[in-house]
Amino acid sequence: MIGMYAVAGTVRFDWYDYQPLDDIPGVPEAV
Amino acid sequence: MLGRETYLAPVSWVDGWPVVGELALDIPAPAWPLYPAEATPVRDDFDDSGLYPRWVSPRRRSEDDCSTKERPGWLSLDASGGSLDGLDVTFVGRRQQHPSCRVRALVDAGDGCGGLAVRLDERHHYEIEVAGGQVRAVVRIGPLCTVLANAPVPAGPLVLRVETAVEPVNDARGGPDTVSSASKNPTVPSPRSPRSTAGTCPPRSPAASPTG
Repeated sequence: MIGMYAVAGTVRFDWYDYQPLDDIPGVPEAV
Repeated sequence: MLGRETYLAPVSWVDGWPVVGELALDIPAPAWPLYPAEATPVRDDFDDSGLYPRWVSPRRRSEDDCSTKERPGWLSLDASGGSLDGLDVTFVGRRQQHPSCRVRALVDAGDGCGGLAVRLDERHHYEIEVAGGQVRAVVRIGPLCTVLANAPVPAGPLVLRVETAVEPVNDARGGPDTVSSASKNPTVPSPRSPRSTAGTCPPRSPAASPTG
């Protein structure tokens, strides 16, 4: 699995995006 | 040991009841997919009151530790364990559906510590996490755990990224895949997020006992 976690306090996530790399032209790319 | 034998038999519906047909060694395959599955959205903005079933967690997930209501539009994770090595870590993830993929998330660690992780189990995981004005990449493989890199980051939300890519295996020291991670300040920092650099991550043992 790939995902989000918290190991201290409260951690918040505004959005999460999962993309197959084969579908992304020009990979690797900047964040 | 023979193991389990499997077979298929045609089933038809008669007056609302399934009727199993004749069993034969050769059965014509039905047209697949029988029911086209709805494509899984690639992005989640956590705007709903709960999480979709595609989000999974090891063992159990407590409503008290995982909420989209605490701050609407955000997923809030409250730490229940101090490490991804533990059985009680607060973790919400999606199954990796492709050998090569990219995951990004906008993270506000506040006073806490957390981030993104590629997780197999408690003894095998890669993560990029943020806390206390630092972002760092950590890897655990069996009894060994090390911080691969760390860097200072400004206060506020941060975009974290993890990529996995299949690499050709040339010898026993490499492959079969590569995991990379990065962080970047969002183009437009969210004004909703508190700024703090007081967070600290729980200490890690750089190398556990080889017999551990």
